[in-house]
Amino acid sequence: MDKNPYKVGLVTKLMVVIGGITILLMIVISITILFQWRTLIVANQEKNASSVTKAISTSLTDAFIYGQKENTQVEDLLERYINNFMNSIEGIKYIAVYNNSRQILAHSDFTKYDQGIKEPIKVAVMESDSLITAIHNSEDYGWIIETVLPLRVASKRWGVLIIGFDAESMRTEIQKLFFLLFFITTCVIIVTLVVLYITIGRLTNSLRILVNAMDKTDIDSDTEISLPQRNDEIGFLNYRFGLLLKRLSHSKKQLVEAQKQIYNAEKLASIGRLASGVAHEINNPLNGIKNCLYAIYKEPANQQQTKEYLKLVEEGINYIETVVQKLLSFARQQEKAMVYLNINEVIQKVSRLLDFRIKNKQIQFQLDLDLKLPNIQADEQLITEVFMNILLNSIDAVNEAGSIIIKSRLLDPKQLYVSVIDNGIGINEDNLQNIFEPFYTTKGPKEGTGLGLSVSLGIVEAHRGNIEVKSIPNKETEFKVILPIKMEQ
Amino acid sequence: MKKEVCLIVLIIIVLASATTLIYLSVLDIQKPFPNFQENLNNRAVTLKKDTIFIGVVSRYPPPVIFQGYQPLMDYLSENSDFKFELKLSSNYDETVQQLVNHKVEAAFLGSYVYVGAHDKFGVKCILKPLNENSEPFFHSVLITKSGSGIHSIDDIRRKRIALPSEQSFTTNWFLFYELKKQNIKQNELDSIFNFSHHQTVISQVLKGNFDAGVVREQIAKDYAKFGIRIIAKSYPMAGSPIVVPKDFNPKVVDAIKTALLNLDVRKPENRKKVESWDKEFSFGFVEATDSDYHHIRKLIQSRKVK
Repeated sequence: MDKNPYKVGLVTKLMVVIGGITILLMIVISITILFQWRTLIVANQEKNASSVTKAISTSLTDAFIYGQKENTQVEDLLERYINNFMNSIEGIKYIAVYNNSRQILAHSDFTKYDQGIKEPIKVAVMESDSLITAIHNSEDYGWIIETVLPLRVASKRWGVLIIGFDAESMRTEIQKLFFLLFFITTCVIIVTLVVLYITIGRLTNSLRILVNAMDKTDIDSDTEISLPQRNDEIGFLNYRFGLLLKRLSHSKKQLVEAQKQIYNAEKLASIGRLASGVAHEINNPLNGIKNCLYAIYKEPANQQQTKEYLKLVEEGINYIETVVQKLLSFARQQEKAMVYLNINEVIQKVSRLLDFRIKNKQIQFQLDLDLKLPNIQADEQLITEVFMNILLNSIDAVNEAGSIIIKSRLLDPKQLYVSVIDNGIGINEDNLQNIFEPFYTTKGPKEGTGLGLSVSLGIVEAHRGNIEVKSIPNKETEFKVILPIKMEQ
Repeated sequence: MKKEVCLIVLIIIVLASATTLIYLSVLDIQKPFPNFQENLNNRAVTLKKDTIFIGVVSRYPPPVIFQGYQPLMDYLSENSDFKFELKLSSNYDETVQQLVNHKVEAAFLGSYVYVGAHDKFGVKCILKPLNENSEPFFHSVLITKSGSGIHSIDDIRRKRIALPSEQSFTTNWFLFYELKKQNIKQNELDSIFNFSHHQTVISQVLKGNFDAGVVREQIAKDYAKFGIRIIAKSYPMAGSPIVVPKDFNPKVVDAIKTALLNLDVRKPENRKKVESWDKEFSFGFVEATDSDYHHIRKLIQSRKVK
């Protein structure tokens, strides 16, 4: 399994979604603040400019009024006032007073006297009855707030006052604001992303710990998994995973128990199937013993004969004892014990157990064993049962005078295999997929439980091995049991 | 990996472009002038009327006169076939001379000035203002600053007194009627000083340069919030008349009378209009006759006798 099987990780996804939304929100907020603030700065400057213009206009209107009354030169008064304002009020670029014919009466810049109002828009603006402002980039003064206010009382109008206020300082202020907000936004975004990365990293690290714990989990092992205690969803997940492990462990125990029962059932079935052969094997010596005993009863005085017959009886009894011993050793419940065993010996033992049935069906039985095979680490009892089941199936499958070959070979340095090849009826392709299913059998009700191959596969897999089956019906069927030489954890 | 780097570079380029765009946008503070082309046409229409100049006695500083009288001129212009304009003067006599010499077609004179001008040049009063109770008379008042220690006219002995123009009814009422009535001689006062305008009198009293002053009642009321206290009030007298020359222009007189007599200040729309007018004229007008000012003639007579 890959370390990171997913294309886009949770960290990336969360960083993109949450980080993206945060960045977007910060940008929107910053832009809103920036433009709102700019509007306030501009409005404030315009308000200041308007206030100053109105204040100046009062004095200039008075100048017109007094000039009219005293018959003095109004222009002189205006110039004096303008000069005073220019000296006393900061941020004024120029002050100009025009008469109603749009001719300059007074201007703070003497070079402008020969210049009238040229722009049509300004000509119209000068006819306004109230104060109006504009902000523009002037050729002569740079960025200015220009205020235009008629010098009038009620409808009496003497002229128009135009003042240009410096707007560069306002732009500088806005510029500073922009860079301040840009800096703050960038810092907030970076801090947010770092905090987000650390937070998500911790979260995913907890998940990674859980995943590692899952990977290390061995249901067969009773070792408890230790996960960090947390008071959050991850902690809850850890807790529930612990519960899941306990349930799995419990289920596994139940499964093992069930498997044991199945093994026993299958073993009993195998014993049953062995019983007929065993009975025959016992019956022959028993008949011999019976005949010997009959002869001894008939001629008790013939000690020579009695001695010979008793020796025969002893041989017969020994033979029966050997047969019974074999049966018992197969049927006896043994504890699971992993030992180093010679697979060839197991095959030979199974062959001997089924020797009667093989001979009874006149099967051509051949052992093709690689005697150099290394010992394997396995449970002898279970492995014996596997080959017992497979060989019994082959015996059942072949006809009278059929053939069975058992072959053992080294598959690779780590594995060996044992093939049981027969020329019996075989298994068609449809059934091939089901033969390892529990209780699946093509035999009659009294001929098999349908558990043999299922149990055998379970045993082989428990030994980290496998069973492969190839069958050409009525021609050749091969059960290939592959087993590791060493059991690796 | 290369794809991701390209994506990051693309995002950086987009963000940098957007930042530059915002930077340029936020620094573009340009705001053009609105279009006022229509105003040109309106002004052109106004300028077509014949201009009639109206004089005003210099009872207030010129800017104050414009504030209070120009809206009245606008009203007359709007409600007649003439365009009325103010013509200021430096003193009361100059206004009379403007009237006599037809430099102005009508003038707002003080009642005291009117009597003198009528008797000397035959000028005629055509309208007189109403007070806030729609009565055709006003009062002059003796004022002092709150907490000055002057509680009645008896207390003004050895005090400094500020007065408006010598040619105002207010000054003459105080000096030749009220003091006489209270049996106070002018030499019992610490000092007397005449200022050009009523507002200057109030200002001097409030500043503490003078202990008391005499002004028109309406002006005293305007400054009451600054701590002005009235300690004596004149008898009712007809308000400052609008005066025309002996050989007046009947069309102009008719235009002025029609416009001002038809003004109903109780109507809300007119009330708002007259709010900016000089308070003395913001409650309407009635026709005036020379007999309305006989009491002033008596006052002048008593001064001459003195």
